[in-house]
Order: sequence, then structure tokens, then C-alpha cells
Amino acid sequence: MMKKILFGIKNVKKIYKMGEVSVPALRGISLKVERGEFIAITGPSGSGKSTLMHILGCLDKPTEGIFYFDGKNILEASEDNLAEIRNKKIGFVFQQFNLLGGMNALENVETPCIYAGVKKDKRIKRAKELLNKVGLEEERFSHHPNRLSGGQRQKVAIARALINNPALLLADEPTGSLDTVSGDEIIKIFQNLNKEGKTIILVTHESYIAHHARRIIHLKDGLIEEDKINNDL
Amino acid sequence: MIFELIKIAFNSLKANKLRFFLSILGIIIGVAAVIAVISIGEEATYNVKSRVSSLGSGLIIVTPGFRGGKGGKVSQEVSNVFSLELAEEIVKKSPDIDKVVPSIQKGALLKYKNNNFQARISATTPDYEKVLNCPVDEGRFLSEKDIEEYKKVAVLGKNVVTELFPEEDPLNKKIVLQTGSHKLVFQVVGVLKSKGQMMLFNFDDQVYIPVSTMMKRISGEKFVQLYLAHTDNPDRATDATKQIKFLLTRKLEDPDLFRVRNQQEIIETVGRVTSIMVLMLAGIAGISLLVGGIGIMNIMLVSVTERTREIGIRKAIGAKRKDILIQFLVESLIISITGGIIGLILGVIISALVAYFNHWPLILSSFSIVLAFIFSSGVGLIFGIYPAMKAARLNPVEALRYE
Ligand SMILES: Nc1ncnc2c1ncn2[C@@H]1O[C@H](COP(=O)(O)OP(=O)(O)O)[C@@H](O)[C@H]1O
Ligand SMILES: [Mg+2]
Repeated sequence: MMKKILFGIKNVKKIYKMGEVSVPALRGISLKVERGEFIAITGPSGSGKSTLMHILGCLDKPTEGIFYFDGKNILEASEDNLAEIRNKKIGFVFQQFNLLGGMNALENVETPCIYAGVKKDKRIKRAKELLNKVGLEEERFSHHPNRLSGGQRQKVAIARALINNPALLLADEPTGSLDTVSGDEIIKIFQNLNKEGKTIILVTHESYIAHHARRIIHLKDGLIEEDKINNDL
Repeated sequence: MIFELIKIAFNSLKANKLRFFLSILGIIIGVAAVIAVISIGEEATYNVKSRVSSLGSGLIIVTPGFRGGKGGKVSQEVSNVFSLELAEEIVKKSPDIDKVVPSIQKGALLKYKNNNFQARISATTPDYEKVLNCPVDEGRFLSEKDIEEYKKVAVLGKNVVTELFPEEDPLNKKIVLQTGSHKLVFQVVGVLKSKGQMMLFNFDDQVYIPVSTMMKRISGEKFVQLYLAHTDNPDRATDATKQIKFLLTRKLEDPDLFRVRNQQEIIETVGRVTSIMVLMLAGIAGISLLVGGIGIMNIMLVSVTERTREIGIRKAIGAKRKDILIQFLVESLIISITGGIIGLILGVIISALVAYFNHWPLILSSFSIVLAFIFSSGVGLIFGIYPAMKAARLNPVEALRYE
């Protein structure tokens, strides 16, 4: 049987050095996340939410602390190890979508599979499945991002995040650039994915979105102020 | 996966065609210049060598040496050394030499009716025809009898005929030969086949007369300017050369009074001189290739900066350093190899045109083609590696923040 704990971090700190000045973005965060959880991270702007997401997403290493992901010590992992974890174990959804402008929706979704070395017919098949699943109309598969609406772009980004079937889905303000209708649609997708068992952590500063999550973590000044189970669900 | 990375590189180059064109331009010019210079150089060398060879393979040229210019004196060509008797002695005493042809060169104005031509006199003996391999087209060459009897007979080069006898048959016509204060009438007895230019010497501009006639009736001297010696067996040209040197050193007691060179040595000298020149020019052309490489580096650095965000995204979704490195390296390789291929074609066209207009054979050495190819891809690799490494080393979070 799979272990229940997906990852744990202990006393994680991140200090940005800007010349002489050091900015402590995270000042000691401890957190355990089990498989299948749906967590919302809230907090005021500048409280360290994005920094935490980058660390959890293995895009950046903590300055100090302990971080084990899927049994691997992240602080000691090499750049290429981290790239492999990002590629296979983590899906990242950004506020700014971060799609590649030079390729169409389908190709964008495929790209992580290229780095994973998946064969062409297999990855196209899977990319199409996922785009259908997130509800992008088939005729838009061949559209480049600049011809897609915000909601459609974010769907492509979610499909891309899912293509290598990651253990963890991270989303940093995924609805932040969307109108409420498409925002709700995106949240619905996350909810459905979580129902299927996907572990999801999303950052939001809108409380009504946070309330879709089963656990809400509130950050302030680089520290966890509150970590509670959402009983309203 | 490498195939996918190559495709990515192609796509991003397609996205900016003007930039692509500008960046291959430097390589095109560099490679075209290298190919053209080497090929034209080889064509020219081949041309000179084949003309030297066309003189016949057993030729040995004996010319006066130079007296050293000591104490403010300019060095000067030695004269009063090469007598007709000495020429005969060389033939007699050198086992590998079968003929020695004396020669005196002099400018002369030729006249026939109203036509004038400034020609060169080559005063020589009948063996000249064989030694220098210039067969007669009409009539005959100089004979032993012409020499013995100091006859005023002339054999004409092709250009002389066209100038003096545009509409007539020159054979047995009388021409006036004027040189210095002498003005003599010569009878045309033969015309040579066209042989063309060889370095500074144009066979077709010559008028050939008996050396004895020249010495007795015109120059009044006892000496000729040079000997053209011949060996039957070209394999023994080196030995034959040594024999002449040995004999002349013993006779004249001063090795500075003469110079002996066989055809092989002349060809080698010509080859050395031209290959030094070709190397120099190719070096200059190579510098333009280098400049092209710097252009690629420049463009790739701009490209990396512009695409920082793309690099961040690719890293965020799992691209490793080497994936990014290969992607950008392949881009610069595509630029340089495309430039190399176009430059190669352009270089071949240029050298083909030069060969065509000079009536040379087109020589394309596979060496220069391989060199250009290796050089251009090497340039892409060397000047692409730094920008690609810069791209590969970017921190993903910072790259994603880049606007
Ligand atoms: N790359 C960076 N360099 C320097 N300071 C940074 C960097 N990223 C974030 N910060 C600082 O760290 C703090 C937390 O930022 P961030 O994690 O983006 O907060 P949030 O996402 O909650 O708005 C802020 O004060 C921010 O200015
Ligand atoms: Mg943020």
C-alpha cells in the first residue's frame, strides 16, 4: 500500500539576498501533506505564498530546513534531480498561464512528455484525452495561446500539468487573471481532480475559492498563522 | 528526444526569419570566401604548373647568377659567362644531358608592308623546338644549316603572324627586323603552333632566329644569355642538374655566376609561392568566418535574453540543463551549418565563374569543402556554447519572473 504522507517540510526558511539586504520570505514553515488532500493557501500579498509554492514545486530550494518529497531529500538533490521531480511528480499551474507562445494547445500539453521521453503517438493520445477532460473544445486544440481566452489557456495549462500524471498539483492563484465565470469553471476542474484522488494545493486570496478546499492554511509574514480543516464543506 | 529538441530549435528559428537570415550572412560570406580563395588559388597554381610542364618534362634552365651587392652596390646579373663552346662542353661531359640550347632574348620591331609589331627575338638553335616542346605549324624550324651559314631566316609565333600577316600566308615572305641601330631583312621559314603565355614569357609573341646570326650580325657578342638544357630521362633530372652544376663550378670557379634549376624545382617554387599566397588570403577569409561566428554568438545571446521566460517555463515543466543546452546549441549549429552550405554553394559558383572566364579547369578540393564544413559547424559550436550554457544555467524562478 502507498504511504499516506506525500511530503513533509520542517522549519523551512527562504531568505532572498539582494545585495546587502536579505529579505526573509519564509521564516520557518512546517507542514505535512497526505495523498489526496485539497489544500488552499491564503494570506495577504507578500506573505510568502508564491515562495512556498515554488519550494513545494521544487523550482527553488529552501535556504534552510528539511524537505522530503516522495522520500527524497530535496535540499541535497541536484538540479537535474529537481527537474525530473518537476517533470514527473509535480504539475504546476500559474496565474499567468505560462504557455509557450510558439506552439498550439496540443503541443503545449505534450511538451512535458517530450522531456520525459514519451513516444509521440502515446503523448498525443494522452494530451487529447486531458484536453477533453478539462473541457477544451476539440477545434481549439490546434490554436496557439494568443487565440485562446484566459479560461481556455488555463485549461490547457492544467492539462499540461497533468500530462505525466503527477503526484501533486500546485496552482498559484490559478483564477487570479480570470473572470468569475471561467474562474469557477477552473475551480470545478480542480475539485473533480481531487475527487479522483489527486493531491492539490492552491494559492488564492479569495476566501470563497479557499472554501472549496478541505484544509486552509493562512500565511502571514512568512509564517503559518493558521492551519485548519474546512468544516463548511 | 534529440529529434524533438532539433524540432524545437527549428521552430524557434522559423519564428524569426529575418534574424536567421542576418545571422547566417556572416557565415555565408566567410565560407564562400574560404572556398573561393582556396579553389581559385589551386586553379591558378595548376594553370602555371601545367604550363611549366608543357615545356616538356626534361627541361633544365641555366641562367646567370647575381653578384652580391656589397658596399652600396646593387646586385647585378652576371654576363659574359655562357659561350656556345661551354654549351657544347656541357652536352659532351654530362652523361644525362643530351641537348643544350643557347638563347638570347631581345626586343625588336618587325615590319611587313604597312604592318608593325613589337616582338621579342629568341635567338637559338634547332634543338629549341624539341627542348621546349613547341612544334611547327607550317614550314620548318631553324636548321643546322641556318646556324652554320648565319642565315637571316625567322620562325614566327602565332601572334606575330596575326599582326603582320592578317590576310597573307607568311611563308617565304621577307620581313624587316629592327633592333637598336640594326635593320635587317629576314625570310620567314616557319610558323609555330600556339602555346600561349607562361608567366612573363609569351611564346606566341616571339620571333625565332639562328643564334649565330644574332651574335654575328646584331649583338656582336660572344656570349648568350641563358642555356636551356634537356635530359632524355626526366627521372634523372636531379642528377642531370647536379652534373651541370658540378661542371660549371669547376669551369667558372664561382658558384655565384650561374643558377641551375630543373623543371621540377621551378614547379615546386611556383607551388610554394602560390600556396603561401593562398594561405594568406584564406587566413583573411577565415577571419571573416570568425566575425560571422561572433555574429552568431551575439544573436544567440540576444535570443537567450529575449526567451528567458520560455526557458523558465521549460524548466518548470521538467527540462533539464542539457535539454536547454542542446536546444540552443542546435539553433546555433543550424545557423552555422545552413550558412556553411549556402556559403559552400556560393564559393563553388564564384570559383567556377573565375575558372570559366580564365579558361582554367575548375578545381574543387574536397579538403577545402570539408574544411569549410568543419569550420562553420565548429564556429556554430564554439560561439553557440556560451549563450546555450547561459540559457541552461538560468534559475527557473527568476526566469519565470522575467518580463
Ligand atoms: N526573487 C525574489 N527576490 C527577492 N525578494 C523576493 C523574491 N521573491 C519574493 N520576494 C519577496 O519575498 C516576499 C514574499 O513574496 P511572495 O512569496 O511572492 O509573496 P506572495 O506570493 O504571498 O505575494 C515578498 O516580500 C517579496 O518581495
Ligand atoms: Mg504570489
